[in-house]
Amino acid sequence: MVSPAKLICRSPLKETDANLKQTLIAPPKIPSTNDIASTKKRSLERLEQQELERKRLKVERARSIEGAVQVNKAKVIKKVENKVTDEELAEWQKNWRKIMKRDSKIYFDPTDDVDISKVGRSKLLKKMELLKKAFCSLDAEITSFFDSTVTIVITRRSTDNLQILNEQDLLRRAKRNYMKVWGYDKAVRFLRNLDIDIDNLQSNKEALMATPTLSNLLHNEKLYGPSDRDPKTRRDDVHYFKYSHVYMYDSWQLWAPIVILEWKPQDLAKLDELPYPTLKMGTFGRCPFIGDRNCDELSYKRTIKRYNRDKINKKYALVLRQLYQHHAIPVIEDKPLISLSHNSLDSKRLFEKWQRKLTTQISEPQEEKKLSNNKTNTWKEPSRTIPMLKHPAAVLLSRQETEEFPDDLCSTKRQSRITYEIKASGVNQSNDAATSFGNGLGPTRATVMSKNLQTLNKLVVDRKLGTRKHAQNSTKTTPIVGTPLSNQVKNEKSMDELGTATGPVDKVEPIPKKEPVRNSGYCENCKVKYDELEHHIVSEKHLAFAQNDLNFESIDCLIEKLQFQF
Amino acid sequence: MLSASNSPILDPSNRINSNTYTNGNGNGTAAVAAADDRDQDQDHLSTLPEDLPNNIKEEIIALYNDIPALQNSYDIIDKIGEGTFSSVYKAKDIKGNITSRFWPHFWNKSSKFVAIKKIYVTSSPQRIYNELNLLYILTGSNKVAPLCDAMRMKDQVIAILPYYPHEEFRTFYRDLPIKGIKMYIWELLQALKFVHSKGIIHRDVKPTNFLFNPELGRGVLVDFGLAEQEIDYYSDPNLLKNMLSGKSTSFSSSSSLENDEKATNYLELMKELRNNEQFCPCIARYDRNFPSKHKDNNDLHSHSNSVSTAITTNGNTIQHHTLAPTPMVTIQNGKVVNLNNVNGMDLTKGYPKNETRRMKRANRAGTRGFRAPEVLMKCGAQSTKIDIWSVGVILLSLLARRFPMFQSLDDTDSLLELCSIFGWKAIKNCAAIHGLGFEINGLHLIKENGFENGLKEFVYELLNKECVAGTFPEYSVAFETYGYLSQDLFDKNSIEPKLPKSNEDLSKQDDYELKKYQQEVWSDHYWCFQLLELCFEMDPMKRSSADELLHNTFFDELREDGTTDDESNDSLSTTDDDDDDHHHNSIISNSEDGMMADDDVLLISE
Repeated sequence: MVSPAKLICRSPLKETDANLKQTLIAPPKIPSTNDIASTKKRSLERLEQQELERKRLKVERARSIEGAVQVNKAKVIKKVENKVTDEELAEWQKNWRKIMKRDSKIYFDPTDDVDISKVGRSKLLKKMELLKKAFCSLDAEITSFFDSTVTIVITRRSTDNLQILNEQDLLRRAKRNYMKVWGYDKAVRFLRNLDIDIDNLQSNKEALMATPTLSNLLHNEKLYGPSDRDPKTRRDDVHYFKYSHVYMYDSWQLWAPIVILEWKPQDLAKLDELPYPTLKMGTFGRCPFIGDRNCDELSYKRTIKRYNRDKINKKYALVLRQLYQHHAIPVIEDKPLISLSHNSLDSKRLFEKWQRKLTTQISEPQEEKKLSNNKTNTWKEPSRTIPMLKHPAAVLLSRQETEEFPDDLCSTKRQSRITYEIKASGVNQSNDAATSFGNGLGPTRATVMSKNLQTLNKLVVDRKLGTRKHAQNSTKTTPIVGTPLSNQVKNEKSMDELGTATGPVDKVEPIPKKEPVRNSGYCENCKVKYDELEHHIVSEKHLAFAQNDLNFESIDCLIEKLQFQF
Repeated sequence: MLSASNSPILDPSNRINSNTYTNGNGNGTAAVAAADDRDQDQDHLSTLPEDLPNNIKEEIIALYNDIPALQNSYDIIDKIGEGTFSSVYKAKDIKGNITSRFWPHFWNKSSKFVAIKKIYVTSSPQRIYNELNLLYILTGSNKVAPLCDAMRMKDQVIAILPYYPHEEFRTFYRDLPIKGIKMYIWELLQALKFVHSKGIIHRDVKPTNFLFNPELGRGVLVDFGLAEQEIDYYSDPNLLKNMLSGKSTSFSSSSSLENDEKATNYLELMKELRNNEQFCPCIARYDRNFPSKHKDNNDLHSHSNSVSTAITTNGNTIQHHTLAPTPMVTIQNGKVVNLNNVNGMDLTKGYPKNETRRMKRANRAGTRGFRAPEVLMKCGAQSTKIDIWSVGVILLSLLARRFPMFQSLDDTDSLLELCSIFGWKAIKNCAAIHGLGFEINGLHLIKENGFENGLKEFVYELLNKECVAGTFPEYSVAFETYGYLSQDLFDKNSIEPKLPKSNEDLSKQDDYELKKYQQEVWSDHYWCFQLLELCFEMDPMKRSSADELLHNTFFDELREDGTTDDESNDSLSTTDDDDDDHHHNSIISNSEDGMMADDDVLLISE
C-alpha cells in the first residue's frame, strides 16, 4: 500500500502541463527526484514498460481485426469466446490491466456529433461518467486536458471516418500521434473483456468513492479542485473569515463544518445587543445569559413585590430548612432552627431601607427625585401617602410589570395549573431549518448539500412559519451577504427561535396566546407535515394507518405481556 | 395557556365518529366497552371535579372516547402535565389493581392515584414501543417510574404509571438547603445508576423529568420518550469492524508491513471509520507516537478503567492510548503533512463556498441547556455520560439558585454559553477529542479561559449579584453557599469555617450547635462543588459515572444510613419501604397542618 500522502499528492505521472517535454518515458516523481534508489527503480520499470509496449502492440493488432468489423456487441463477445482461448484471454486481461495502471492516459473528447438529440446526449453523458468510473477502477489516469502524452481518446462521435475530419480536429491529431481513438461502444466492449461490470459499477458508486484510490482522488479533485495547488494559497471558491467568527469543523475535513458564524463589525457594535450569548449575570433566579434587562430589582415596586412574596414563601422555606437541617433524609426534629447570620443585603433589609427613605421623603422631595431619575424603567413612583400597597395579594397577582419575564419569581408560586416545561427540543430537532418546526418529530434531512435545494427548503419553511419574525431577525444580526453558508446558519437560528416561541425562557417578545403555528407538526406515521392536527388525524391516510393493527404489533405484544402480571 | 383550539386534542365528536369505522380488536384491553360510550359522557362529567376548566373537561371526555376501556378501571380527575409528545392525567385506580401490584413504587401507600400518559398519535409505533419497552425493562427500581399498564385503541396509546405527589422544581430550587440538594442529587443518581446499568441513556435528564418531593426526600425519574440503548463499542469489537465495510482485508496483512505502512493503514482505517456517522474519534484515542510504540495487545484489556481503547479488526489489534488533542501530523516522503490538509487545501481558515461534503448527523434528542458538549458537537458515540452532564446542570441550578441556567436558543448558542463559563480553550480542547477544530475570533466577551476558580467562582459571582441587589429573602439558604464561597475563594488563610461575628448573648450550648452546624454546611459544600466539577468534565470518558459519583464523600451520610442500598434498589425490599412510609406519612401530616411557627427560628442578628 502507498501512504495516503502519496495518494493525495498528485504524482508527476499525472502532470497535465502541456509544456512539459513529451518523452515516451514518464518523468520521474517530483518528491523522489533526489532519491537515487527510486530513480533506479523507475528505470527498471521503464524497461518493463517497453517490453509491455511491444506485447501490447501485438495484442492490439490481434484485437483490432475484430474491432474493424462492425458487429453487434453480443456477437463480439461470442467471437471472443470462440476465437480466443481462456488462457489467451487471461493473458490479454493481465497485460491490459497492467497497461491501464501504468501508462495509460485517457482523454474524453467533449465534442458531440452534430445531429444528436438532447435525450441521446444526456444518455451519452451518463455513459461517460460510468466509463470514467470504470477506467478509474482500473487505476487508469484520466486527464481533462488533451496533450501529446494522452494514449487513449474516447469520443462520443463516430470513429468511422476520421480521415474526413478537419486537420485541426482533435481526433485526427490523436490518430496522427498514434493514440487510440475509441468510440463508446468500443470502450464498453474493451471494459467488458476486462471483466469490468459496468452495470455493477453504477450501483457500487459509493463503495468506489470510499477507497483512497485514484478514483477517490479524482472525486476529491472534483470537490476541492486540483490537489497540486499550494494549500496555503488563497482560493476563490473558499470563503475566508474576515470578521469576528465562530468556526467548528471536522479536522479531517470529511464532514461539512458543524458551526459557521461570522458577524460584520456593525453587528457587534452595540454591546448590549450582541448577537451571541454572553454572561449578563442578572439576579433573582434569572438565567445568567438573559439577565435582568430593564428590570431594576432595587426599585421600590419590585422591592415591595419581592418582600411580600418572600413573606408568603417564608413558611415553606423554613420547613425545608428544618427538614434538612441535620440530615439529608428529611426529618422534623424538635431542635430549634439554626441560621447563620449574613451581612448581605436581603429583600427585607432593602424593604426597610425603602420604608425609611419614604418616611423622610416628605421633608426631602429633592432626594427622592434624584433616586427616581436613576431608574432605567418607566414605572411611576408610588404616591407618597401610601408606602404599603393596600392589597398585597392583589399586587402579587398582577403581572403588569413582570409580563415580559414569564418565569419571574414575583408571580405566585403556581402560576398555571399545568406545569409547562422548557420544551424538550424533540427528537431530531436540529439546526436544519427544514426540521425545526412544530412538534419536532420531523426527520433529519438527507445530507446531500445541494445549494439550490437548500434555499428551496428554507423557502418552504419560511412561508409556513410566517415572515413576522424574519424581518425582525435579519435586522438584528445581519449575516455577511454573499456567503451562502453563513446566511444559512443565521436563518437556522431564526428558525430555532420560532420553534421555541412557547418556551418560558425565550427572549423574543411575548407570543400571542393563540398561535396558529402551534398545532402544526410532523406526523411520523404518514411522513407528512401538517398544519392542523385535527384535520390530519381524520385524513384518509392517517386513518388507514391507525386502523391497521399490524402497525402496532410490537406494542400489542408488550401490552399482552403486561396483562400477565395481574 | 391551554385552550381547546390550541391543544392537540381532538374534538370529541370527531373521534366518536371515527370510532364507528371499525372496532379495532387488536388487543385484549381495548374495545371492551365501546358500545355505549355516548351515554357515558354525562357520567364522566359527574365524576370530574367541578372546578376543572371546560377545555380540560372536554379533553378528558375525548380521552374516554378514544379508549373506552379506560372507564372500567380509572376515573380521570385532572390533567397534570403536557409535554412535547404526550399529555399526562391524574386518575383514580378504581379497582386498586395497579396500586396493589406496584405498591412499592407508590410514595404514599394509601394512595389510589395513577398517572395516565396519553401519547400523541403523531408518534410512530416504533417510537412508542421504544418508550414503553424501556419502561418495562426498567421496572426493577423504585427510582424509575414503572410501566404499570398500557392500552391501545387504534393509533391512540396510553400508558399507566404510578402517580407521584411531587413538587415543581421552581417552588423549591431557591429554598432547598444543601442537604436537600444532596438528597435530590442522590435520588437522581440512584435512578441513573439503575438506568445506565441496563445500558440505557435517558437523554432528557432535567428537573421536569425528575419528580422530586422535598418533604419526603424522594425522587423518581420519568419520561423515557427520548431514551435509547447505548452502543457499547468496547465489549463488541465487531461493531467497529462492521463500520469498515470490507476494508478490513487490506488491514489483515499489516503484520508483515513496515511501520510506516502500518501507520498508513491506521490512517486509512481511521479515515474510513471517521466517515461513519456512528463513529467518533473520541472512542479511539490514538497515541502521538503511533506506530513506533507497539505494546502487547493483551495488557490493554486488563485495565478497564484506563482511557485507552483498542480497535480490533480481523484479529489484529491496533491500540492507541492517551489523548492527542493537537491536529495530527505525519511525515511522508520527508514532508510534513498536516491532516488538516488531506484534501490539498487549508479549510481551517475558511469554508468552501459551495459545500459538497455531508452534514454530520447525530442523535441530539434532549433539551437545550442540558446537552453535554459531545451532543452539541454531534459526537457519533454518545454514552450514558451525557446524562451525568445534565445532572451537573441541575446541580448548578440548585447551587447558584438560578433556573434555567442556560438560555441556549440553539446548539451553537449552547456552545458559546459553555465558552463564556469555561473559556473557549476548554471547548477547543473538548472539540479536539471529537476530531473537531474550533476557532473563535473577535468575540470580546468570550474569553480564552473561563473563571479563574472554575464553577465555584461562577456560582459566587451569580450569588454575589443577588446579594448586592437584595433579591434573596433574609431566611435564604443561599447565604450559606455565599458565605462558604467567599471564604473559600478570598480567605485562603483560614481552613476553619469562620462565623460571621457571633453574638455574645448566645449560650455556650447554642454556640456549639451553631459551630457544628456550620462545620457540616461547609464540608457539604466542599464535596458538593467537587461533585459539580466531576459532572462538568468535558471528556465523556473521564466524566464520572453515576455509580462513581454515588461513592463521592458528599453522599457519605446517605450510604452509611443504608436506606437505599444497591440491593434495595433492585429488589424493592419491603422492610425498608415500610419504615420510610411510616416516617414519611408523619412528615406529610406535620407539614400539611402544623407548619412550624416562625418563632422557632433562631436568627442570629448582627
